[in-house]
Amino acid sequence: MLYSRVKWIYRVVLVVTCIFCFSLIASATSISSLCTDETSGWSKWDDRHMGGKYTTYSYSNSIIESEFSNYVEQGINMWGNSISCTQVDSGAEGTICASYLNIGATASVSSTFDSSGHVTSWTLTIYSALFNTGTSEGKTRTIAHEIGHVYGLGHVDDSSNIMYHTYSVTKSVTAADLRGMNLMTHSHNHSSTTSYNLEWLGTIHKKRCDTCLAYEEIQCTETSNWHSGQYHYFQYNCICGNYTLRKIPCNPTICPTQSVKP
Amino acid sequence: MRKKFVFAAGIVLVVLAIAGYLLAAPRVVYRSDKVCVTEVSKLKDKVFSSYEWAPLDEGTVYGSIPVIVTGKVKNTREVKIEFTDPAGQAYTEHITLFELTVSEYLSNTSVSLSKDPVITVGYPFTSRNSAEGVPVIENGKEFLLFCMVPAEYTYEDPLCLAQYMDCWAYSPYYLTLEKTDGVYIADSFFADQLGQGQAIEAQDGSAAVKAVLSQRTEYGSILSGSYVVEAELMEQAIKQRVESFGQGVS
Repeated sequence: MLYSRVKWIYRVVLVVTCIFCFSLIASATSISSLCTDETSGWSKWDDRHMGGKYTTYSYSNSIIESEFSNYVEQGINMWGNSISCTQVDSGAEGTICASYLNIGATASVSSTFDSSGHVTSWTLTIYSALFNTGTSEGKTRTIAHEIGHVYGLGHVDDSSNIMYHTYSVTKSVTAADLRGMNLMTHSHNHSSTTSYNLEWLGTIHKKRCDTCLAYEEIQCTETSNWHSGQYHYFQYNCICGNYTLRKIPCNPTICPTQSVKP
Repeated sequence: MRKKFVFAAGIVLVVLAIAGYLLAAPRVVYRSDKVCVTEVSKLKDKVFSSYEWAPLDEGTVYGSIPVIVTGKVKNTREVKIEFTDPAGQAYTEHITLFELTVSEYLSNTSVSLSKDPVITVGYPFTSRNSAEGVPVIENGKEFLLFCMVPAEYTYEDPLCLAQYMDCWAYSPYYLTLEKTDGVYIADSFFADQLGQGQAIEAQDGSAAVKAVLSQRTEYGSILSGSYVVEAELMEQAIKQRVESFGQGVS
């Protein structure tokens, strides 16, 4: 009797836990549905990301280690506590190697990832022909830039950010770079309790996270519109739950003949 | 009679086996003590890398690069270079080789490269290390290329590039321009020099231009950083720049 009651309670707890977990997953925003723009100040390479702070690396041979390890360690350190990327003797996720080709780049990263987008292995290639023409500050920044790619960050056009697409001795890890990195490592996540701000872009809402400044696009449906004075009013019924009134200066050539305000 | 048949069948099988082996064996492009270059098949699904690009300055582009050439691509193939570096370490690199049927040498200050009608060009991107935005080299396409001449490298060439190519495409992300619909697709590096009105934003270009850009993965983001320039105008502008930096067709 007691056994069957405990068993019943166990089943109820299991079902409730499952429902809770599913609702949590459903309300969370995956990286693949997020967009970034100039306001965000960072970008994602694609949907791949590290999914944690920790990764490991080793060098493809001892000569490359002796030549570049100084810059690699300093480059990793530029990211501070936001990542943990450590050298190991065996079983490393990442490999650091070098190339003799002059391809117009200082370094590159390629990586593989699983079905959830989490990086499973990576290779950082240093193109010694051009890398070695840089200053030590520049070389360190090149490695920091590539480590950003390892974790899933993409290029930006702001030359002050470490993820700026071109070699520079002045770019550095900025607050924008760290906002992106925190999402790549899952140090920052989205859930139903995340604080968002809504922005207008035509009939598109940008639902922008207050913390990482990435956004989701939400298509709104116009529910009614009317003229009043010199303005054309639109009332939007957004699927995010907001009824929002928007007014634009009236232009007779584009505004349809409308009834007055109801 | 039966013995003869078995013998003939055996001969046929041996010949087929040898032919199969020869066909399956990778074609050797170049081989020496420390370097072996063989053709490899392209990957069906390209592997994309993300690069930190090196900055360009006009002095290097117009004053130091010996060959600027336009032409049509044929015979593209990916090759694997296996080599041992001066420190005794073994490496493997992949590059693309192709023949360029030259339309015009806009500049050629090389002492070893005569104005050959067809040259072999090395290009650093392959199906194994492609990148968003780099021009896609395919047979039949026309390009404007800025090239170094490996035979004249002043530093050690452990890959022996000079043995199997005439020219090496320099900084192709910026300096390899594809010609389509009578225009070149260029980066802001050239657009800035040409000035307003002469380079138009790619999103205002033709469907053919957009189709070319769509091959370079993320269509939207590439469109915003690309320009189209009328081909003749671009070639004239490059010749003038080269002359102002003291180079030109020798």
